Amino acid sequence: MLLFLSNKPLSIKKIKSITGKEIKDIKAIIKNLQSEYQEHNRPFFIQEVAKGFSFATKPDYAEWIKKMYNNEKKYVLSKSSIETLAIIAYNQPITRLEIEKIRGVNCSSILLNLLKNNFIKVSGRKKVPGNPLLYRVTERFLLHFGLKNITDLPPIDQLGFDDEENQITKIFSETRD
Amino acid sequence: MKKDNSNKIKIEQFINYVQQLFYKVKNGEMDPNEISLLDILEKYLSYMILSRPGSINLDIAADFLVSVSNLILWKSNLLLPIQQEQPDEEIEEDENISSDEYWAEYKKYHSLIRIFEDKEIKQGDIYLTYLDPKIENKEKYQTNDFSDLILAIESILSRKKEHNSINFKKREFNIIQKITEIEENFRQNKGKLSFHKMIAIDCSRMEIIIIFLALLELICQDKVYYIQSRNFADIIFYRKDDKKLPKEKINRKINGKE
Repeated sequence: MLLFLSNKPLSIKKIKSITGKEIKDIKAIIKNLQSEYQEHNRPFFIQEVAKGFSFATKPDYAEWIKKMYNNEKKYVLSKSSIETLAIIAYNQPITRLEIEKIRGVNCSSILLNLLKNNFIKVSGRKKVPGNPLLYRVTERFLLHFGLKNITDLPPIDQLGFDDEENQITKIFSETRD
Repeated sequence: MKKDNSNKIKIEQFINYVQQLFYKVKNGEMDPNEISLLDILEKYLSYMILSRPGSINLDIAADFLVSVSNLILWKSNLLLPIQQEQPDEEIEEDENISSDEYWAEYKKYHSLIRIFEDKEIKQGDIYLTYLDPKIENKEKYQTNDFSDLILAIESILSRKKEHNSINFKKREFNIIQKITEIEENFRQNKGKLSFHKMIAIDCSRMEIIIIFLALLELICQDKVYYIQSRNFADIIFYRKDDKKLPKEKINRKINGKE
């Protein structure tokens, strides 16, 4: 019921503080519910996303939901924005200059756009000459890509090799399991 | 070589000739010292200007310029002392190493784009009770700290350039006066003031700073609080003793929640 009414993913800690139940029990209940919905082929399921759990609709029903929202599309990020977000996610907190050093191009407008759309936030200033702003990804970043947590990302050291596609797919499938 | 140059040849053959000349020099088949650039230039210019007055084929001219520029580069490199080339090579090697490292590092992040795109598409078909803000479109109150205010004042001051010449006497401000003015404004505006409206177009940088300090003072005295509905939205200041404001909002701000 809490998940049903919550307007954002509910963390286990939050559920514990409300219900007073043990974390172990809460996890078991959620798991039971997940398997129950799957068994009965419900149009919705419980997704673990953005450090919590939330009710989510199955992709098969996306068309109907889109129609309900007058075909309003979800926010789609450009390649450069995704690249910038990936750099921030793996190196956060990070300054603009450090991002630009990796990307090799100016990122001011991309950062501004990501800030405006709440994908990143300013998390303070770096204690170096000039005190540049430090950026971090937000909960919306996790929600947008359906990530459980920032640790859900594959280890960066294993990326970028020759057999890129196989490597990455393998890593992601491993982290999912 | 010089004999060939002295012959009257068509422009196409002439360009081919310069290009061939460059490739021969590049492959070490010919000594660049033997080539007279002046001779080549004279031939070219005489052909372009005298035989085709009033019109120049830009494609041919461009090809010629590229080939001759390369020849000039080769010839000028020969003028450099050989001993100085050693440290240059070392630097080049270092740069190559760092360049490789850079590409390896960049490739890691670049390779993530496709994965993130796939995840974005997959998640795009899943709708949560927590909706995309673009669809939800509800006003959310975010937690503000002083860093938001500092960012706001920095952006205003960066847009506000000080005038170079002021011939009349400047108006002087002080924080106490400004606090009184702001409090009066609060009374006139039912306890609500917009940050952008407070900073009028004709405000000087000094006045903006004084207004900002006065507002900070009022916040520290717990007389005023502020709300920004979303990133980059206008910051609205509320007087705390204003009973018309919903208590819920005030409590939310005081407790630092949402």
